[in-house]
Amino acid sequence: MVKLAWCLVVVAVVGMAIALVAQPAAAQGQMQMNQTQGQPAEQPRAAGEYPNVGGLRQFAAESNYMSLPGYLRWQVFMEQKVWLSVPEAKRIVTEQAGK
Amino acid sequence: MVIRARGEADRDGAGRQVTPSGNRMTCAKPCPTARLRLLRRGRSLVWMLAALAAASIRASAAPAIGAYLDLAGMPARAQADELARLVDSGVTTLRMPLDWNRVEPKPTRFTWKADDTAVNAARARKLDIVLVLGPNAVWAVDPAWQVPAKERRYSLPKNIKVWERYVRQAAMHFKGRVRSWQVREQPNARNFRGARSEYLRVVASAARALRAVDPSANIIVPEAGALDIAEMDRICSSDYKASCYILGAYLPSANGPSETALAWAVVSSKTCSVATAHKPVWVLGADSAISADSWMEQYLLASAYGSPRFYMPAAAVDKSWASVLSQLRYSGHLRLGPDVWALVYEDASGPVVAAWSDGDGGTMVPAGDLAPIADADAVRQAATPGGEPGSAVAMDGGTTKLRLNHRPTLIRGLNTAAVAHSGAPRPEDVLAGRPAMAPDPAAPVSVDYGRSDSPERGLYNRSLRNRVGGHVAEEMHNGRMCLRTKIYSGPGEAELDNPWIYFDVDDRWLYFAQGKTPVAITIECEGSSAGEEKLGFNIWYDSTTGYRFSPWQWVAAGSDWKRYRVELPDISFADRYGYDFRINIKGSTQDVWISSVTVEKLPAQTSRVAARSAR
Repeated sequence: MVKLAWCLVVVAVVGMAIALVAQPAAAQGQMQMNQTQGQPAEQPRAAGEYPNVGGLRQFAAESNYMSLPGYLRWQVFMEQKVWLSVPEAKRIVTEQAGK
Repeated sequence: MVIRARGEADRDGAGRQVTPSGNRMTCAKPCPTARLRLLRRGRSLVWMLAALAAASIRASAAPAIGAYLDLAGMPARAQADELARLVDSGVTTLRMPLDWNRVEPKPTRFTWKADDTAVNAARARKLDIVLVLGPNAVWAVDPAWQVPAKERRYSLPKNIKVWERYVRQAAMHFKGRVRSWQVREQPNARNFRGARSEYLRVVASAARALRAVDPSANIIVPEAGALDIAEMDRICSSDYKASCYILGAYLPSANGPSETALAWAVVSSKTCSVATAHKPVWVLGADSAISADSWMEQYLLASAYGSPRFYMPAAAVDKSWASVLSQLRYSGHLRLGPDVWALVYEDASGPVVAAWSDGDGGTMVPAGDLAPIADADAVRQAATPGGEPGSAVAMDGGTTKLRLNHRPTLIRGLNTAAVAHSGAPRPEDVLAGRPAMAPDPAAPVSVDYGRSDSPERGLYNRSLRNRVGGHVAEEMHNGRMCLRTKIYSGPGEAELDNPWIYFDVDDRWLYFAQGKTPVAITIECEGSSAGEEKLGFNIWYDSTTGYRFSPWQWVAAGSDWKRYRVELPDISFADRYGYDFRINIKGSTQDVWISSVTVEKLPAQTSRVAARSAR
C-alpha cells in the first residue's frame, strides 16, 4: 500500500515536471506559428525606392537648407516614419549620384 | 437590350441605347452593328455567329495558385497540417523565404536542416517550390553604416561576394529540387535599405551565381510593390533584363480592379517592354492585407491577363473559392455596365461568366439584360464560388435580378461565344468602363476650386488629401478659393507639416507616357508676402526614371496673382504610389496659396525640364 502511494506520488511529480517543461516548449511553438504562419519573413509593405535627391543643390532652398543626406533622411522620415542612419544616407546619396 | 461595341464609345449620347433598367451590355471587340441586328433576326444566324466566335476564342490555362509562407519556421506537425490544407484547396506551388540568417547564422557556417525538411515535405506533396533569397544576414551588414539591429535584415551586404557565396551554396544544395528563385522580398524603401542601383547589383550577382550552378534556374525579379509597371518597364528595357527571367508583381491593396486591370492591360500591350521582352509576370502577393473578395477578383484578372502563377499568403487561401476558380480557363470578356466586370471562362461544364461590381453598394442586373446569351433558368442558378445555386439572385418586383457586389458571382450555361471577345480587356477597354465622364484628351486638365461646377477637371487633389504631408486646405484668400499648404518646421512638428500638394491626372487623359508626351504644369498662386526668395516650389513627379524633382522656382514678392509654368519632358504618370506629381514648397518660409493648377500636353520636340515665370 505504501509502495503504491509512493508510486502515485512519483508519477504525479514526474507528470508535473513534464508539464512544466513542455509548457514553454508548446508556447514557443505556438509563438513560432503566430510569427510564421502565412507571414513572410520580410513583410511586404507599400513603398517605393528612396527619393532621388541626386540632382538637388545642398544647403539651398530646394534641399530645405540641409545637406543632401540630411534632406534624404528628412524625406524618408516624413514618408515612412523611419530614420536612416547618417552613414546609410550618405551611401545612398552617393549611389544616386552615380559615383 | 443593346450590345454595344467598344469602338462605338465615342458615339455615346447620340445613339447609345440602354435597357429599361439603365444597364448597358457591351462586348470589348468592336462588334459590327449589323451583327447586333442579326442577333435579333434569326436563331440560325445567332448560332452561326456563335460558332464563328467560338472558333476564334481559345481558353488559356488558369494561373497556378500558390501560397506564401515560411514553412521552415513552423513546427513539423503544423507543417504537415498546413500542407494538407493547402493542397486540398488547390495550391500547387509554394513560395518560401530561404532566410540567410537561418541557413548561414555565422559566416561560412551553413545549416540546411529546417529548410531541407520544409522543401522535402512540400515536394512530397508534389508542390513546386520557389525560394526567396533573403532577407539579409545581419552579420553581413557593415557596422559602420549604423543600421539599427532590428533593421539590418533589410540592409545589404558590405561585400557582394558574401551574398554571392550564400546564393551559390543555396543553388548547389537545392539543385534538382528547386528551380525558381526570387531575389529578396518586395525590395522597396522599407524592405531594402539601399539605393535602386544597389538592389540591381544584388540581382545581377544572384543571377550570376544561380546560373553558374544551374543554367535552367528561373530567376524572379520582384518589383517594389503596388504593381509598379513603370519600374517593370525600366527593368525590361535595361541591361538588367538579362538577369531576370520572370517579373514578380505585388498587387496594390489600395486600388480597385479597374486600376489593377489597367496596369495589367498596359503590361500586356506592345507599348510596354515587359511584353516585348517576353517576360512572364507572376503575382507574388499584395503590398498589404486585402480581403477575400479582392483576392478572388485579382485572381480572375490575373488569369485574364495570362499570369502563370498567383501567390497569396497561406492564410488567405480558401478552399471554397480557390478550388473552384483554379479550374477556370479564361476565354473572353463582356461588359454589363459601368462598375460591373464580366469575364468569361470555361471549365469542364462549359462557359462560366465571373461577374462582380466594384461600385459602392453593388449593382442589380436584370436577368433580361443577359437575354441574348442566357435564359432565365441559367441566371437563376448564379452563385458565388462555394455558394448555394441561386444565392446571387434576387427577385425584385417580379423580376429576376443578379445581385452583384465585390464577391465574384459565377453564372453558367450562357452562350457567351456570341458576344464575348477573346483576349483580355485592352487599356482602352478598361478606361472606357470607368463611370465618370472622360476628359477631352486634347484639352488641358485643371483644378480651380473657385469654379462651382466641377472644380477638378481631369486633375484630382481632393482624393489625395489623406496622404502623408498632403493635408492641405481649401480656403478663400484674396478673393479666390485656394489650396493652402501648412508648413511646420519646429522640433516635434513633423506630424503637422504639410508642405506637399498631391495631384493625379485622369488615366484617360494620360497614363504611362514613357517620356513620349511632355507636359507643362502651370501654377497660379499669390505672390510672396514675406519678400523675395522666401516662397518657392518645385515639382516632384513620376518620371521615366522614377520620381524626381523639377528645378526650384522662386515666387516673386507681391500680393497679386502670379503664374509659373514648369515643362516636364520625361513624365511617366503611371500612378506609381498612387499619384502623378506633387507640388513641394519645403524650403519656403511661408505657406503658398494656389488658385489653380493646369496641366497641358506639349508637342514632343519642344520640351525640356524648365521652370519659368509665365508673366
